[in-house]
Amino acid sequence: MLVRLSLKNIQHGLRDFAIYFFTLTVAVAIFYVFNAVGGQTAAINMSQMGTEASSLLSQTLATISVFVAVVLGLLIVYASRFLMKRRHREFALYMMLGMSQRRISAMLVSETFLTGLASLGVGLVVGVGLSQLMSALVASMFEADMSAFQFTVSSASIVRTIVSFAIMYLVVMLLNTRAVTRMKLIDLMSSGKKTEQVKVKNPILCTVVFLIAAAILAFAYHLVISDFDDTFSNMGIATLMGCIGTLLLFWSVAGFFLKIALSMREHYLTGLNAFTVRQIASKINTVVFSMSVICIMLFFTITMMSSAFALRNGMMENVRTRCPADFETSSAQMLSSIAEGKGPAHDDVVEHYARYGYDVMAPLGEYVHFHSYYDQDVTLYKAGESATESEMVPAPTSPRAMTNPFSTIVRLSDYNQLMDLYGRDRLELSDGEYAVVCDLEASQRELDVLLAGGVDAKVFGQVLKSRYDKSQDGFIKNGPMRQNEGFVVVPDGVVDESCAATDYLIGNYNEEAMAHLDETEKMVQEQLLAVDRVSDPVNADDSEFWVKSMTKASAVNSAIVSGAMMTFVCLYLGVVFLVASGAILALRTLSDSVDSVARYDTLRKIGVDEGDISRSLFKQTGFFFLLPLLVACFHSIFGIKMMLPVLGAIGIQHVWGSIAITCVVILAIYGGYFLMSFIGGKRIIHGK
Amino acid sequence: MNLLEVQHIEKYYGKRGSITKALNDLSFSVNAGEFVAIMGPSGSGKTTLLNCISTIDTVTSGTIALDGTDVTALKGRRLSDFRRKNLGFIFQDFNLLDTMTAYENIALALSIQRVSPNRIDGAVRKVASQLGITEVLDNYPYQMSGGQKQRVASARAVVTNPKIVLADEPTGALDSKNARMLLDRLGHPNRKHHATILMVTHDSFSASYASRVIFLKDGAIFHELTRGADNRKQFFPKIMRVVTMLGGELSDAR
Repeated sequence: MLVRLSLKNIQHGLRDFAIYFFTLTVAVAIFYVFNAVGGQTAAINMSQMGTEASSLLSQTLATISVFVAVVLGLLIVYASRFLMKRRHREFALYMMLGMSQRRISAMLVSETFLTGLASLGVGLVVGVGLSQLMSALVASMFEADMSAFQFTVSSASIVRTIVSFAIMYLVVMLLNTRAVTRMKLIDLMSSGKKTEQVKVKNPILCTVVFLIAAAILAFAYHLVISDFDDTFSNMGIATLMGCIGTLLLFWSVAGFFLKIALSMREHYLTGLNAFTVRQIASKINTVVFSMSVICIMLFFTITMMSSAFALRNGMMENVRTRCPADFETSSAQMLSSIAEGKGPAHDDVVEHYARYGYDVMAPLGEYVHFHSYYDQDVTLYKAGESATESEMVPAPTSPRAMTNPFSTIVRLSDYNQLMDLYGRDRLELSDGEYAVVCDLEASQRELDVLLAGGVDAKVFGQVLKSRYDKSQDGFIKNGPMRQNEGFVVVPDGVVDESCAATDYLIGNYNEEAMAHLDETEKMVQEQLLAVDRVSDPVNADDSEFWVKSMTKASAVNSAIVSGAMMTFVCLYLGVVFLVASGAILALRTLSDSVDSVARYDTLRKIGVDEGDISRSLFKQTGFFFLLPLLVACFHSIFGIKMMLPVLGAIGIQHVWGSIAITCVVILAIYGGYFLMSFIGGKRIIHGK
Repeated sequence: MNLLEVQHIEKYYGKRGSITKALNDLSFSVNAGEFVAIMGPSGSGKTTLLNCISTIDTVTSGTIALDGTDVTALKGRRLSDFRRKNLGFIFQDFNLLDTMTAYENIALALSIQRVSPNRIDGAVRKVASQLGITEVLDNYPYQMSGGQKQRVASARAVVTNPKIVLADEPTGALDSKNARMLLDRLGHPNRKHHATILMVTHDSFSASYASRVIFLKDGAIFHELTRGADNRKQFFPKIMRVVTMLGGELSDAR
């Protein structure tokens, strides 16, 4: 009997329920799909990089899943409470007919149980299906070929999904039961008869709040774009201020809305505009909080996805173009030792490894072994002014202010030898000339400004003229990030051997090492890295040199793993945020449509076109979906700017592409919910 | 000149085997400027008739012509166009939009006809003063009395200068004082601007404001009364006599 009543209720309230059930199903499916990614990674990726990467990915996604479960839990609680409020009159009827509150809550529990069961069932089936599509994305993330495609079902993910959602539904049941036992018949009876009162907020207060909101947001924007160095420490404050500012902004806009619309008299009194405006105005004050939350979720989604995709694509391109050598090791003097005022020091890496009993040269075929030089006293002059030694020009310090790019000096022959190894263009210099080489975007910008004015450099006592009026793209160290903040290339005769600094050994594996690449890599990783660990400042604070090795394979691997990690985490959170935003708005607009059925009937009776009615509904639905999205887009401009220091190190050119991908994802999910709300709303108001 | 021409209309409900004839070969006509009341017991087909004329419902057979246009042949966009331009509606339950002020409710009837916004204000204020609702123009429906609401609804119906105003039990939800005030005011534009009114009512008192009363029974015309030179007080007992003739079946008549 109870179950039949519950089933009937679910069936009856289908127009409200459909979007709720749909969202539950989507939530279950997403939860499963992303929990299953770890397993798929393991299946695809076993041979390439062992289980470490895939278990790291699984663990990260599992941790994120806890957060996602909380978000989805809040969404489900919100949605079910919202739907329950709409049924107060129904409950009142049950109570009038003599149903006890215990029976009512039992009925609600069985309703939740049935919808929960159904959504879990359908959601898991959909999830398993989607997860096969996801494996294509996993394969492309790990650059694996899809020939080894298998139909996979992850039982661990199924269990985790069931457990998580069972807990959420249990919480919903408890909260609903508590709400039911607190209901009073008199309140329930009167809840449907609320008179439609349009609250008008004090316009002066609204103006003041609006100004405060604008000021807070402006300050938050200022924080993230002005202080280049402190961006990260300011991130938290800026985000918090952004949230508060957004809430105040929506609060004041809700107060303004009607005033502004009324002031546009001509427009207001055209067609159904007055009706549309009044419809929006009658609910805008009740959605201030949810719109702010949605706006913030959209902001995070846009910023996260855009930067994650850009970072991933950038890293993948960098390992392809910026890691030309199979193996690289270097021994650099500790910055601390330079800071203490000691002169430049040099330590041969080959000898360093030999001291530990390793022959680093063994697997190498072609190689370049050289060192850079360090000149503390390098000085810059305006072009032509060097003869008089007036007009000193300050050298640019890199954004992170560790080095003066003009202090690090490389001999032309060393550099060109390295470029031959890398397969990149050689640099041509005549006597008495120098060139600056860098590849970090921020450094490039500063150096280009400096060099455009013409600058002479006094290196080891010799005055050199700049060969080019801008910096040259190039690097010594391999890596997935652009990291060359700049160095000077000079003709061989200029350097002072007593100022030798960082020692480099960069080369490709020989044929034998290539033939057994897996073993070579294993040997290099295990043995050489063990040596490196000794000199790492984390482990030894007294070592004078920092020796670091890396291989192309490991750079590629780490780029793939961290790229995949960022992509999946941001996609996971982004999709969940979008679903939550869309679901909240859809629920609200659909129930508004239900409430407004009588109004649309009136319009029809006085002769309004169906077409005009649809357009009005479209505008109303569009308003509530578009407003938070627009504000979020505006926020995101600054959010992405906040990520620029990181993006700059990767190469900024991928940002637009990844913004485009983000837009597609938003359009698909958020836009999908918009369409569902509009079409569902249309069906409701057309009735019958 | 006949503004409204109703000819041999029939309306059947239900399927084969259990057919209800709501309207049974009904014919009558209304002249421009007339105020016609339609009376009849519950189930006599009054409201069905009104719904058919107002194009909310369709007839099974027969034709309804308004100013030469056969409304039974209209469909879709042309139908709502027709309804907007030629008909004004007054409902028993007012059907005001609760989110909008009285002013906006009245203005809406004009703005959906694409009347230019600067002409709306004058038209709204004029009709509001005729109906005595100028002081409640800025109020929302929940801030008005039933009588005021119905006068606002009437203002919305006549502001567009429709060819005919269709009123379905306009006084049904009002007390007698408010009903009188409404009918007085409604009669006002009727007399001066020759707006034609067709009103369905089961209240003899309301009907006595009309210039002609048509009595329906079982979907057909039972009787017809014309006021002629009588004043309202003389007309009322004549109506009552027919109502009594209709017997207990019009028991809900006042």
